[in-house]
Amino acid sequence: MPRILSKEEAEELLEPFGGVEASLKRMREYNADVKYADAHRDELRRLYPDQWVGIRHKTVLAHADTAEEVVQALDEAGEDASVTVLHHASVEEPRWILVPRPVWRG
Amino acid sequence: MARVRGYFTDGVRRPYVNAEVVLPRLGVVGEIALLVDTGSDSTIIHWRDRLRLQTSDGQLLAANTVFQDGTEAPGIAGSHVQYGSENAVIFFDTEEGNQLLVPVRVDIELAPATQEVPSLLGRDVLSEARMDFNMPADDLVLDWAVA
Repeated sequence: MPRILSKEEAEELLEPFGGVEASLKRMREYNADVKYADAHRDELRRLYPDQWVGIRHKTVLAHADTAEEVVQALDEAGEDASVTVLHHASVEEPRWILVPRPVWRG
Repeated sequence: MARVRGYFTDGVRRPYVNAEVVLPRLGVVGEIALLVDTGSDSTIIHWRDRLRLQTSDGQLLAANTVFQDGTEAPGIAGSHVQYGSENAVIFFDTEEGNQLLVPVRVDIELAPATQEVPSLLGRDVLSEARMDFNMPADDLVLDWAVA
């Protein structure tokens, strides 16, 4: 059941990751960077056609042909990939046909 | 009641909600834009986000990480997609300024079979919420009754 955490519970759960304030800060910075990527979609497409782009603090930190290469470049530069927006600057907007897939958990 | 606001993005205005996902057993965290997918039974962390999960001391989740359970599914064009399954905690930032915690078992893609497909917020989480999907007004709201 979803629940609102008490401040104490949240601090305990998130303590390994810097606590509640750090978590909220990460979330809000990530939200801002997602909005940045959306607002600059056309510009990103023009500058990095069909590439993956890593964005943090409204800045392109890395770009490459694959998501793996971007994450590797972020890691090598000491950047925090876990809070970086990975955006694919698709020249043509792909249409997704998501087919239901049975999954067997075992 | 806890209210979480999503958004519509991509050129074709797909619905997303952002969250912080923690895998407590593995000690990793990541901010993830989750595609709201009422057709998916479960919440799925796809490859592009699995790649970014990171420990508190900044180490990326190892490529050979063994998850609690293995899963498999037929994928695109007859390929075989492998998933791991792991207990997770999803944190949402609510409009009230609190953090909403949702414990869930997530499926995690183990190989880059669907690199461009985002992670999915499935019905295991969505079924607990009331959703107002109002694209004409550019408004996506999830309301949870909370304990």
